[in-house]
Amino acid sequence: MPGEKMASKLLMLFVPLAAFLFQRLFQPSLQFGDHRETVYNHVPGTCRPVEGVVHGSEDIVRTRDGLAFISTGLIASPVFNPDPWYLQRKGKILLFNLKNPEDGVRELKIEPREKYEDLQPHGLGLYENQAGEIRLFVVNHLKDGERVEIFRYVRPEGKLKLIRSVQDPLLYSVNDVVAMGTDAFFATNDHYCRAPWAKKLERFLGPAWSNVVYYNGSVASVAADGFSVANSVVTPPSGEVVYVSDSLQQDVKVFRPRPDHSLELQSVIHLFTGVDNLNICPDTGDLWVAAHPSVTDIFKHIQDRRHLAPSQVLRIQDPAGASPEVTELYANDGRQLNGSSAAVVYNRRLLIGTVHDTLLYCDVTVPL
Amino acid sequence: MVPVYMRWIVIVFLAWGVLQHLIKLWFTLGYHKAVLFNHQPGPCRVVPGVEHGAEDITTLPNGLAFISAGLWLPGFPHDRSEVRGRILTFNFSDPEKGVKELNFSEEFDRENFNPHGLSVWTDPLSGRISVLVISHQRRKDQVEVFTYDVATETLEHQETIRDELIYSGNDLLALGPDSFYLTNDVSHGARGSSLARKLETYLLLPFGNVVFYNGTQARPVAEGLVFPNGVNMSPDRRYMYVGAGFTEELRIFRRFANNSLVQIESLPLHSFVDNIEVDSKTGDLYIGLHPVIGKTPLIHYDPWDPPGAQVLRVKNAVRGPDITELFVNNGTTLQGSSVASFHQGALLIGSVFDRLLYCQVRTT
Repeated sequence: MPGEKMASKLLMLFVPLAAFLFQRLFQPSLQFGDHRETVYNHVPGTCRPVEGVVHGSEDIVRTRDGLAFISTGLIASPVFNPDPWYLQRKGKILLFNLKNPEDGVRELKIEPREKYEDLQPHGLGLYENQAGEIRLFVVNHLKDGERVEIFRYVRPEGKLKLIRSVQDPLLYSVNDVVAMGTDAFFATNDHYCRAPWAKKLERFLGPAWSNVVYYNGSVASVAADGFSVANSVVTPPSGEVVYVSDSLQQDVKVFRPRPDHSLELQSVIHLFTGVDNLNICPDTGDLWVAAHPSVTDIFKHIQDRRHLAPSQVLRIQDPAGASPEVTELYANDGRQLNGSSAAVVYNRRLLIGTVHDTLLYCDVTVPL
Repeated sequence: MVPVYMRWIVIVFLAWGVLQHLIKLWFTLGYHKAVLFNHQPGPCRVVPGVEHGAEDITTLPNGLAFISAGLWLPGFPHDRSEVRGRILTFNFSDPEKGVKELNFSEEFDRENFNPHGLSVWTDPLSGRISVLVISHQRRKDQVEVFTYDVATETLEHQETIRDELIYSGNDLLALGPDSFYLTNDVSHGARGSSLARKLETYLLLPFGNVVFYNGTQARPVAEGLVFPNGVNMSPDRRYMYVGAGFTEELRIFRRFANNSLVQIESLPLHSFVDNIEVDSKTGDLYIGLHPVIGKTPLIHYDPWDPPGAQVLRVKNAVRGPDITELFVNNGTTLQGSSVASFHQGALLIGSVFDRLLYCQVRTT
């Protein structure tokens, strides 16, 4: 019967289309591990929020002797339709001395004044040399383009003096940065597209166009690509390994840098959680990983700050070895801490930063 | 004549139902938990001398813990002949001494002793300690009642309790020298036949129950549970806690003077709930769970892909539960955790067929 033939033709078209749409709609949920989103709370010791931090503490880096620099007031990406409350923030760099945790945080003065006015900080990188010079590399999302600001930390006055403001065509969607010298660094571009609508589409279709670039002091080049969302990059002081976290592929990739600074993949550590920023312990080489156990919830938290987003801090021992060992140091369903994005440890003291929430300080009494 | 499309609608509907159950089963068995990140509440060490499980533990207020060890059920990793049912003690006040195996009185048939859940009751007047243990004989289950002689460290066998309504006992809670609540984890039919048991397990049928034995006879007090496991009570005796295994919940019941139970609450814990211990001072619950029950001998055990372990602490279970995960292991240190008993800053974690772990609790 002609009607039936027509119906069966439509069905043949409809079924694969429905299957494709179904897979695309549910793939993000399954990929982000939403069904794994049961988070059981536990702490490594007593934890308390640090006073005075309300607009996030997206990235934290620390010096060898426990001085932690924290970027706060991250500009909420318009990709998400952010909660208007986040727009009241001001981008700043805070200082927290892990040797004196009771002192809390202190805002660092930034010179020149214009740089302070437009600071939209994101990822941080630290350069420290034997002479005691400390340089802070800050990813700055300026309206007219991304920059990596290189500051010198002037200890006695507690201020950051701008040395260089790096711009390059290959720095277009920068998330994090790691210093490789006084003026050189690796940086992650977490997306390929720039416009918010295009980023949304890029995330949905998943073409894996995110990359890591190397800036040698004058020009940038692509060091590695094929990431879905390259988030954070760190190296140990020796610089012989480079770790890159991919939030969408939910793993940490281990690379060996070649002489030309391009990166050769050595191994992958699958974590099955939304990894955010990495930090490395300069003495042991352990990786401190902050993650979002439920990426859907952190996205919803960005749209509505009342929506709870779970937090997680992992420690990876021997990350470049054959059997890295992963332990969970902290986990919370969002009632104590929302959207953990960075973690540093110094002398049994843990500092956990978040995308838009507060800053948590914990004493670590469990074995490390 | 049923039109062709009607038939297809019915088939699709049925297929959808089956698919939905299969997906639910896959998540219930825990296979989606791809990776477990280890963490401990403090330093932990293995207690020597326990190789074939320490399925249940109960600790007296003075720090003396009783442990049932050497449970064997079909599918367990060791050979039946290698495993011996034992009751051990461990003293929290003297943890270095490790475990001590208790002797039984002469007449007790220890050849067929296959201990599962245990409970201890202290007579408030005489101080006499009664130890009640579920023993799985080949065809039927029975409850062995012992008196613990503190001086000789022996268990004097008092009586063997059998009842029609005690057929697949998992855990029990003593309220007197011979009265107790007991959970039957599967139906009577499933206890007898391995095919019926497999069917009941995979179909997640709610045929488990809780019975109360008053000294002479047992009667059901709660029904419709899918593999109920641990059973315990709040210090004020008003609330009963039952671990609903496959539904991954902690069921809270209001307990009445006539020993009947009414369910008031169901706390989702998202892992297969095993035994429950209650801290007599604070009323906090310490629960042993199986994050991936599918890898335990209950479903299928593979020594190269072992099940993990998990311990949760629940404060304020009835009013406003505050749940903390105290311990998680991916199977490298402990496999198949079934129970956790807390005493003054230390935790004793037992397993169904693996080892016994002693941990100090250094977190809040």
